[in-house]
Amino acid sequence: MSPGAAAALEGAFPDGTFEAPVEADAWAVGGARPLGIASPGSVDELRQVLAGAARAGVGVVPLGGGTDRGCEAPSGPFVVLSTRRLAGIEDYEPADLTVTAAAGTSLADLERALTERGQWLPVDPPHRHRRTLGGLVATGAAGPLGTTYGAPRDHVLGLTVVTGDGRVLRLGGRVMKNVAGFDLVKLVVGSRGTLGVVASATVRLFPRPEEDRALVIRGVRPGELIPLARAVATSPVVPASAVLVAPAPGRGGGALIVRLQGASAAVDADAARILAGSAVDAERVAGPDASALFDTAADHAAHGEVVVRATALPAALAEVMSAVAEALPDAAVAADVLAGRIRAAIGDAARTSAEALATLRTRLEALGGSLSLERAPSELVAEVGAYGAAGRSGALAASLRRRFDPGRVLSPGRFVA
Amino acid sequence: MSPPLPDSLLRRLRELVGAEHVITDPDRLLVYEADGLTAYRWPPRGVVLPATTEEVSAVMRLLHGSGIPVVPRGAGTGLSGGALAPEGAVVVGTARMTRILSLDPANRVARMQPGVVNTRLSEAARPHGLYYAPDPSSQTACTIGGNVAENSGGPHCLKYGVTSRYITGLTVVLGDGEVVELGGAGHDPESGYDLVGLFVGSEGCFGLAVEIEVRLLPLPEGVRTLLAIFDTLEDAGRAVTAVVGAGLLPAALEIMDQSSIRAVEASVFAAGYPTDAGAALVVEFDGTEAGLEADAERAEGLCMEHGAREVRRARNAAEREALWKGRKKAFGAFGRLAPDLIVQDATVPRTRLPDVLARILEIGASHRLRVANVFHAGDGNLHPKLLFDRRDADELARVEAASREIMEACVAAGGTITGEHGVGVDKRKYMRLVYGTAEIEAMRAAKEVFDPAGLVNPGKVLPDPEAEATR
Repeated sequence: MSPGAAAALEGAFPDGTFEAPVEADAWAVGGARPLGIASPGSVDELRQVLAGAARAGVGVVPLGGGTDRGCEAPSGPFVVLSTRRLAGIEDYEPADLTVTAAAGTSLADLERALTERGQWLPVDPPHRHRRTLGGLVATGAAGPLGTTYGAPRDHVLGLTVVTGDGRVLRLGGRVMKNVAGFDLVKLVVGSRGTLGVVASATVRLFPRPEEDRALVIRGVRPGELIPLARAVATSPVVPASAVLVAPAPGRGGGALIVRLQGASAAVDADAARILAGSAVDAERVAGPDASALFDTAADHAAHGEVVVRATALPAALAEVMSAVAEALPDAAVAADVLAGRIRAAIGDAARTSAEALATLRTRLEALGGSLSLERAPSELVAEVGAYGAAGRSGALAASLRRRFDPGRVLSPGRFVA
Repeated sequence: MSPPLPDSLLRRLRELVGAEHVITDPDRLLVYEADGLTAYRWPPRGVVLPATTEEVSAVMRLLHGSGIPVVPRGAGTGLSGGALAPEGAVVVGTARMTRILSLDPANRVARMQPGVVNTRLSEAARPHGLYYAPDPSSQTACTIGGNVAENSGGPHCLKYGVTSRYITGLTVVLGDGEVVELGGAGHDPESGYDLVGLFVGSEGCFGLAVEIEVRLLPLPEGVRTLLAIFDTLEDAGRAVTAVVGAGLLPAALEIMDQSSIRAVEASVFAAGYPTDAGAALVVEFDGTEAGLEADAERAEGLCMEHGAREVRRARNAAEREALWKGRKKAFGAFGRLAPDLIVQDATVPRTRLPDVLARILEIGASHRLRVANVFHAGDGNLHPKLLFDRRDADELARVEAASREIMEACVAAGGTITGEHGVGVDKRKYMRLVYGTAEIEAMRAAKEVFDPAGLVNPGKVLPDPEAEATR
């Protein structure tokens, strides 16, 4: 961008909120560089940034921690809207089990405050510590704890959102049960910055369990752990999560990591029931080692040039694992066996192809599942598409998008047509 | 009174669903005049009872083409008037859509038609060691379709969450008859808008859910139920705070106040609660057997520390049923105390419960009304019951005034106007207490996306624009 154009663009935003990036690549979205970074410090400035972008005819892509920015490039010139200046806990009532925080608050900061009061927000998507609350809401990203505790959609009680055309909506509230009006909170959670920019969120919390332990079962080949993983998923015992990772960190082979929480006696009994009748040896991990292990498992298949997310019915685990292995040879794989969601990553994009990914998507869709690309080189994304046809919600979604962002300012060309 | 439906239309409706499933006889329509909100009676112009997705689609398309509004209806147990038929509307009932289409234990999902009764689903799942978690108090009558429309709660939401957590996919018929698939187990929920989440709780205003896919949970290995008797409501409230503060996560935490205890004990549902008690608290834990005893003991200790007069423990399923009986039947028990009853529904942040409850009693007294409270203490969801006689116009007016003041008090405490019963007809007038124009217009926009013609359950949820214009 020429210095003149940059100055003109800067003039469209509130004073001191805009900068042309020094390292534009660090802010790239789907391989495309932004024209600059706008960092509003208030809801009012956020509105002005959106209005300024609309006047200047550029798109706006909201980013929090930037860990899960999607692999689709915006359809035209754009600026990144960073929520880094919208940070901090606004209201925390431990006895109500709720907290309200600004969008740019990191989950790590939030966790520190909650831990002091013996509480937590049970979410564990990849790169958890670097995510922001706003990013968690915008992506709706669930980790392995999602089946037992609920996904972000189930934890978000209220939101302040600024729509593409600058309306400030205060949706939901800070109470546990609320059916006053249509549930626009659900619509916004997971809408990936295409309907509005999340300015703050209220989420429900849980007491930290007395015990939080891992049961680790190792296998030489990941395939031999699949029957055990399925046994866990259909057992009357409800683990907090169960993740099958391959290759196992530092050891090769594979490992099934079952997370058990609750009173000490209950965790012991659950572990005994899960292992009853099976000949395998399990390693029991507790305390900080267990926490580190859960984080390692969550991030296990989330690094590399190509990262994909495969979903299917949980009982199709074996088929999905083998289909993924064919399309992405030697991939790091982390399977959330309770949800039926498998993340796979390869370091070198040359090890796969558009054809292999398209075939994988077809196979998954035949199983009632889907394939989404989380990270991939732009040529691959252009050829394969980030989401399958089933992922796009069609005319209703497109129509909702028009009603929230009539000027098509937000994340143009991404996520939902 | 709306004019009768044209003969040509009736003939086509009868062809579509069978003559006996199109109701126009005034005597047979009586049942459909009201739902659980009995203060209102709105006779529909007719009732159609389709049996299949294709029939629903054809019926909706036909009525849409004639410009006739439709009202989806399940069992009619709703408490906010959501199934009442506005002027000129035809009810599309799900009474014949009662098939469980599939029950898949390996994936813990079931798919069914909307007319399946809530408890029947859990009964069907039980042989597989599974159950359906949301358990509204009307669960032996209410349908899964109605639960989807209302995003129903129940006493076990504290630990397990509300209906929206358990709906994985929907097939819906829109106003013009179009059949749309939303979500589905196996589908990636992070690959598009959460239209299932948006549809759940839309109170029949977006369309009619004709197939519902739900997630089932394994039956807990064990359950422990305690009943703690307190001299005062305040003590019971403090005990709840202590239990939650101790890091325990009960499956349910329910309180009944003195008026409710007395009503239950004077009724056929008498459960043996002492009638001089200020409050009764039900605490329930479920999960792995080995951990339950310790949880129950800690809760019992905390109740005693906070002034419980006694704590009873259910030793078996029959005793557990007995402890719950008073709570679950409280609604019915009021029947003998007054001809009419309004069950209010609001949620406040849990820590605000004691002052809000005191304020509700004050409001009742100032309007010379009998008020009783039963509530989900764990999640701050209150159900004040106002007793009255609707033939007494003055008393009815006082009930209206007290209801509004209760809503205002709950909103002022940081709460909301409905936690699980919905807005329907009854609470449209309170929507402005919690939302401004921007939020209401955004909700209206969502409604228009699903129902551009405005013919699906019109006149519900959103405030009446005409009434607002004349304010």
